[in-house]
Amino acid sequence: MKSKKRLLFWICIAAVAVCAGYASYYFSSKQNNAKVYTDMQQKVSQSIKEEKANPSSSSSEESHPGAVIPVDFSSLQAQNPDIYAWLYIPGTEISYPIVQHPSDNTHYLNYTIDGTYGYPGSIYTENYNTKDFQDFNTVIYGHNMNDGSMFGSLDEYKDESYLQANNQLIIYLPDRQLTYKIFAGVVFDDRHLLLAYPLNAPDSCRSYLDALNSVSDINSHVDTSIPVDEHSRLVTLSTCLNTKANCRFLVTAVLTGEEMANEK
Amino acid sequence: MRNNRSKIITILLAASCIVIAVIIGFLLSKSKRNTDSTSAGSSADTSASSAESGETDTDYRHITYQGKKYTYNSSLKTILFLGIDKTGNMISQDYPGYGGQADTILALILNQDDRTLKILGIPRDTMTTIDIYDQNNHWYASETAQITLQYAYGDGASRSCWLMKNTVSRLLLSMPVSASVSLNMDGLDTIIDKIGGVTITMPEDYTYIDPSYVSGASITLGGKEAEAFVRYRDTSVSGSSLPRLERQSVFVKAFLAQLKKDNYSTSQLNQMIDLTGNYMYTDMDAESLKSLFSYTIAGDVITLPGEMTQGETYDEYHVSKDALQSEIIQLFYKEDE
Repeated sequence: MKSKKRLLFWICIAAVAVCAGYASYYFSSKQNNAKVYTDMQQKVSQSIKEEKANPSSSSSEESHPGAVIPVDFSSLQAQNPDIYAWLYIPGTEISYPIVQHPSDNTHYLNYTIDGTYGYPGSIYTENYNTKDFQDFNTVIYGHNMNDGSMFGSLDEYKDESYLQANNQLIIYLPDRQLTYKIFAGVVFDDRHLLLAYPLNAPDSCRSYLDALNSVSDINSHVDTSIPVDEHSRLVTLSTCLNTKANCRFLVTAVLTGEEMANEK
Repeated sequence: MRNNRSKIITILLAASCIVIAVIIGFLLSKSKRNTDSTSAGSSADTSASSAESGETDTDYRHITYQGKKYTYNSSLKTILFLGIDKTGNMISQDYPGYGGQADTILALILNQDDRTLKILGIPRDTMTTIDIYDQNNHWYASETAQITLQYAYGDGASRSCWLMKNTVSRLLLSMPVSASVSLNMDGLDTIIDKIGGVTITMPEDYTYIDPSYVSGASITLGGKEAEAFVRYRDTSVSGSSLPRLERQSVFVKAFLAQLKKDNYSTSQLNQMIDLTGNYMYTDMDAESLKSLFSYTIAGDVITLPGEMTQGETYDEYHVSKDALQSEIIQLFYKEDE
């Protein structure tokens, strides 16, 4: 009787230890996984800062006009060849490499950029989209992390005044800089956008814009002062809503400028 | 001693079990939240039928508006009151699109805390997304049209009311609408006669309906007069549904006040519901109706902000998006402290 109780006691202690161990593993691994991004971000934001502080570095020289690309793509691609662009939204936490897996469209949902399995995953596109942002709509996915990382901070765009104050979006490619204006933050259903609005169908862009416009919801806003039409080139950032499993929060931006990189 | 020790062991066992449960629960909730936050649509349902999404049910409870945080006032309950421009039996045997039109659309916003009621008048010509159904009640398309038409794409009663609740909720930026009462012209006549008429103090001159309806006059309307009062409209004049909406609001205010004063018992109300059986539909029971009549109407009727324009054939009332949003914040939300 007594030994039975003692055994039970030790089993409980062991279980507590295992749980505590797992909990600490879970959190530390998540933090480790996220660290790969913070290192990259620091480098990029450093270059952006330097460029801002000293813009004359090359653009004032008439012979070398063009955009300064603050991303060292060759070193990033040495780490992971699927990295092909960098997403930056000034004024927000969002500054991430964009990846596309050549064959498995769900891969980067579950893998970080360095190949580690688990959260926070990656900021990625699917191979329906080309990698040159020429499609009428390039859909970029990311997890809505509770700590605000990845696309967690997109929730802020549910406030129209925030949307209007933080509507610049930049995509850096190795050879150019694309500048977009965010015009919509909309709660949408979970249909697959690139299948529902196929890239090669002539009226897709119009129907997509109409669909965004027709959403009537306290958390959804379209800034109609920004000109957009069926010839526009868009990017859509798609993330989950923590409150509703079968809905997505979409932040959509329209291309307003394209600048080739200066030759260094 | 022996006893004490086994007690301590039992306590320790219990404590460790609780700790385990807490940790497991915490981890489960954590991983649950994470699966919820799984992004992206790679594997998502590709053909989700779009427009039948009256109940988007996003997180309207906590929002940010112009940088400030607001919380939905959870003591509110919104009931839709509909006046249907039809006589006879409400249940329609007709084709879709002929279920009768909702000529009076009032959102009654009940504050269950202080027992006050605000009335939001929705013009019948409000242009909004309505859901169109075929004869087999299959969703067919979504279209921008006058909200009054939404009622017609149902059966004239329960299904029509359900459609109206969804459409009004969507129009009000996804604010929940929990119940509805719909009454047609015969139903109005019957009820008004039953309660011995409704006494209205004319807030302005309505002598174009009846020479005695001068501003300030206190007049008791019977069923037929009440019908004329809420129905009269010069359709040759563009935008004439707006002054009528005002009149309807005046009437509903007086009607509710009368019901409150008369203080009917639940069984009397049940009798009335029976009496109007075919001319009225509600998804509320007599008890909830009775409680509705106990509310005090606060302030004037608010009209959905917007502007009336003349469409090709019919009037169109276009909602002002910004004004609507700020009105909804005022009506339904409290700023966080």
